[in-house]
Amino acid sequence: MNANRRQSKPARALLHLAARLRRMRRALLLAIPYLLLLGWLLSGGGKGDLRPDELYAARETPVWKAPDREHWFGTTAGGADLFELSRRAMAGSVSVAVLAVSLGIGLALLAVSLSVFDERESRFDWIDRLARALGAIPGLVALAILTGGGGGGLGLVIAGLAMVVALPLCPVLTAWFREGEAGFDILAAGVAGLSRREIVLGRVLPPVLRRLPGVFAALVPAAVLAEMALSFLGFAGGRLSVGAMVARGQDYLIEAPWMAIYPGLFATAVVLVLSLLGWRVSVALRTGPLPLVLQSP
Amino acid sequence: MSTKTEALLEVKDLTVEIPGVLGERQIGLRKVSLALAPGEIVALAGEAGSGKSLLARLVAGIADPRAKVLAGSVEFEGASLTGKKRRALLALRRGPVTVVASEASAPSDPDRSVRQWLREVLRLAKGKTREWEDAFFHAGLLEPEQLLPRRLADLAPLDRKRLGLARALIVGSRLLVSEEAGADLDPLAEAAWYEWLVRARDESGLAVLATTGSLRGVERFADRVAVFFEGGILESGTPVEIVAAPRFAYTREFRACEPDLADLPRDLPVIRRAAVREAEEAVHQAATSLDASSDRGRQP
Amino acid sequence: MIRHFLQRLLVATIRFAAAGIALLALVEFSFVVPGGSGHHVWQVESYGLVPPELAPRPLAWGELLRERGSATGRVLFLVVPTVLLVGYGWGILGARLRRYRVASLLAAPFAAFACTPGFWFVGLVAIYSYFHWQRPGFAGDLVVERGPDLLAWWNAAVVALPVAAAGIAWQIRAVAAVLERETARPWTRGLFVAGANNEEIFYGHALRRAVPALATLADRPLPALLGGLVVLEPAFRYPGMGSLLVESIRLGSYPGVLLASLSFAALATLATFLRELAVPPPAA
Repeated sequence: MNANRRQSKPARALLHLAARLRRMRRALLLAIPYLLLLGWLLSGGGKGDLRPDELYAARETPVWKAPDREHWFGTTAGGADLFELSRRAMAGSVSVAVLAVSLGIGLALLAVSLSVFDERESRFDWIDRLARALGAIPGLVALAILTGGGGGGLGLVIAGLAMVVALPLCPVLTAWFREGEAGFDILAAGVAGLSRREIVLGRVLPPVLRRLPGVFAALVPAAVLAEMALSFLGFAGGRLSVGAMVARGQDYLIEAPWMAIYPGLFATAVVLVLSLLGWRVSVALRTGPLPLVLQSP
Repeated sequence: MSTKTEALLEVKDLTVEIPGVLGERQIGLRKVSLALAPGEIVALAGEAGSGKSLLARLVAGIADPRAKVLAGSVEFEGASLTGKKRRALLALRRGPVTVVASEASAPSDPDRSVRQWLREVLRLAKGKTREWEDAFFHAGLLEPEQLLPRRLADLAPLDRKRLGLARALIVGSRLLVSEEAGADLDPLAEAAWYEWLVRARDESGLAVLATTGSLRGVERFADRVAVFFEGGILESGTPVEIVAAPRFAYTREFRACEPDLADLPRDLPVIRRAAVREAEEAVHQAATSLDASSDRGRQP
Repeated sequence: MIRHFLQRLLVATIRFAAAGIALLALVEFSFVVPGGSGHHVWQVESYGLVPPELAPRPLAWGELLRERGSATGRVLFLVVPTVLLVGYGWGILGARLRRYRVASLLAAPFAAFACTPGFWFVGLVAIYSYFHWQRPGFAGDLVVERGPDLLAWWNAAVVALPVAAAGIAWQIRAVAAVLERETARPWTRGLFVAGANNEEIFYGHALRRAVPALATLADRPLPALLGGLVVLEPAFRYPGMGSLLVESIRLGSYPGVLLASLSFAALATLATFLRELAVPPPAA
């Protein structure tokens, strides 16, 4: 329409930025409740070092209290407030999950970058093939063996979760790299004389990196559930975790049902919120088909 | 041209609002009037964003749903199109109207074979169809049997457009909307496409509404031409009038705007600011029209 | 045909062997290095009789495997067809509704269910564990002389429900994602311009093109389902392969751990093998 009238450069740059922010408005809006939830979980001072063994130690005269206005979720057998405990336990689980998922994504990127910078594209194919073969082992089986046999230390849990996240992610990242390399602009860049390293770092890598926050947001709830599953099975060492609380509380299910049910419901609510938010974030950031992350190709 | 009293397509004082890039509303069409008689070929020419594609898409029923008709009406064979829902407009595209667009705005499925495409067309037409081999022949597709097993992606672009024309002939459409169909064809192919449109019109009485980005070759195929500028019709008339004696400097310079490969950047033809300002005044002040009776736009 | 079969068989065998070696290495590493156990995986003394905690009466490892395997088999027999049927059906319907905005209110439950994988886990475990099958009087009055073992199937169904729910949620998402990618292709615009309506575009073109990709998803839920079994069987105190794995880890009993994990790996490899037979993977 305005073929012969051009806006000034700064005006155009501002409009461009405004358009970009407007396109990302959904993702930006979704990040706020996400961060608020994480902040609330992680806030609050520690009330001493509470371990599940102490929490649920058998007592002659149990001092637990039913849920009332002072203790929203009731108390444990030892008298500790269940709401605060659940919150700290969830904070721990979410932190572990966030750490493990970040580590896993980093590991997968590292592994894939080996093959992507390779001139002869078949030298590091074995990474892909290994990932595909090991995909036959269910992740929780490997995690259970690793943490259960090793005593349930935090390092094992994080390392195990990171490996379980990284392994199926490798073929997916490889596919994204290959997809990015198939564009016409890459061909043009190659013809123009750019080296493979420049092409990959400058043109192929940025779209892949742009999709990673969505992958992260989608994987965190799954990692939280995995960590809770492991602690439910009893492979958490002495750590405070919602899974351990639910497992121990099952013994008191008839007399004091709040000990097993309320932490479970709290954890359900947090995972639900994280999962819904994470899905919307990944849709807003246009990550692409999410379940591919967990798909065996 | 046309001595028939009933117009096939009638656009009366149409004003349409469209959303811009950042969400602000712009006027896409300003009080545009147009009438198309059966068997007539009308070309709409103009720059990108001048409203010609918007008008063609509104006629075909594939306009952006966010486009709002502020005033005026579009009537196809007496029935108004402006109030209808998309489903009703879909029924129009399955028979009476055929749209042939550029590959960018209506990409075709590359893996489909021509045979599958033909089966779809015959199913959509539901009975009252013409012999497809006949239609292929009249669209310029020789050896139709050899064409059937080939994939749409393997056809030449001109052949894909010809398939669209053949579809119009098979289902017996009365109007063909060629929306920038020449945009992804080279000049010779584009000329061939327009020639086949004329032949199809002569043979079956198909009316054509074609939009082009330039005035190149309009004198050879169009009965009437309308030059669009910023949402309104700047001037209109027979191609000879437009080309030989244009009323506005803009039209003259628009027609001359065809850079040579040998031109240096500073020699590229541009349209002068004065011509653009004159055209703006003409379009924004008066209602402009292209109808069967008058052959020039009103005086500003 | 035979060549394709043998090729797939070889690939499946190699995958299973790789998984087996990885599992052996994992067991060795986790029990010996951080766990501090003196037993190594290659030592014969590490493999003894079935511990009494794993079986109520003296059993051999083969019998234990058969018993637990049939229990888990009942659960899987209920879960896998349910997940596939409901996952595919709900996913296709959900993709159709969400893509074309018909009754977007109807599509909301699809979306809500599909994006909450495994949230059933924590809530249901806490509640259902009350009804664990060993509770006296629970369906114990049902005496069936001849015919199917209804009690066993009922118990299997109780475990199968949350497992299937989680699997269905993930499968719906995967199927809907594949279909949404297919309907977002540029030529759906071309079909729309040519006069095809939403049903024709979705069922006639997009779904037909997506069939190979959808068939590739057929074996996708199985590893996740098996992982879910590992958690939910001990929760419901159901004597299946998942409980065998967890109890063996707790007892430090290598034969149980290896048997259970190798059978899971074998199941997953078998599923992938069958799927690759039916839908040949694209040549890399």
